[in-house]
Amino acid sequence: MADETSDELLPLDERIRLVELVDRVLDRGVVLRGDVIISVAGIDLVYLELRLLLAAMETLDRARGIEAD
Amino acid sequence: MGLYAYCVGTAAHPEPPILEGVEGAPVRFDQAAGFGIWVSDLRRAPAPTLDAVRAHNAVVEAATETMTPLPFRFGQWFESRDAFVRSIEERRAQLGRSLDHVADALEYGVRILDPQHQHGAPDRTSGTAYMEALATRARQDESDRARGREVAAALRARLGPLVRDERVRLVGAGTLASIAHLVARHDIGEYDRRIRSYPSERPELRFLFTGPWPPYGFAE
Repeated sequence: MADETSDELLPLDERIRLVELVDRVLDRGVVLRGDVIISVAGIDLVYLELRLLLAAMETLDRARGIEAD
Repeated sequence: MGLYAYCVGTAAHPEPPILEGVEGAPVRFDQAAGFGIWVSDLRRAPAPTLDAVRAHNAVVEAATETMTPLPFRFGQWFESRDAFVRSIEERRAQLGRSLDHVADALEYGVRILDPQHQHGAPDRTSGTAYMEALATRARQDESDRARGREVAAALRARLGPLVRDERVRLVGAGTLASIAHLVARHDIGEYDRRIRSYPSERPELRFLFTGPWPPYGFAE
């Protein structure tokens, strides 16, 4: 299984893996009790956190691209 | 003390090594209804954060190293061990069937993207333009779903019996399909060789491969 690395240094394939991971862990898997599933608002918070993380990494990539130019 | 569950395996499933799970809680082995289960003792349901999601998956991946368990979805917390055991006992037959289905297999993900997909909000400069943009998008979505089904079927034909089971989701918005394949551990090498040769036949599309994963998509 893949090792976790610093978020800011994640290459593209690791970012894809992160998105796939969140999709799996929050949306699939055995549900024992519907009433203990985290709230929709809670799930939205995780996805918001993920989007912010990915947006931050894209900004970092653009900055690196400018430096490389 | 409440109990948080990560995954369930057979009674012969190995016990966890020294391992921290969600919110840094130690992971321990428990048994119920003849199953072996990896759990942590937690006073309350864990807050849903990206770190918690990663920690949950890290435990499930550790449990998948040598034998394949059924992963629980994030957030399966119970007020007491008794409540947890009752829930497992109520689902004993279904859990047993699902464990048999994923035995000695792992999940692989394939995401099929269309780089030519037109993203963006519909034109709102006029009512007519807006309605036409919505109609165009609806036609594109239907076309994407049809192409997603076609590519998923072609992949399945290429892989044949190497895929024990599959789940296909037609996502839309540039992702034609998101596919989960269940593959026996002893077939992983041949599966990998065959599936990675396929994208060269469809240069107009982009394929993203991930895995191995614990069988989240087949834990029903």
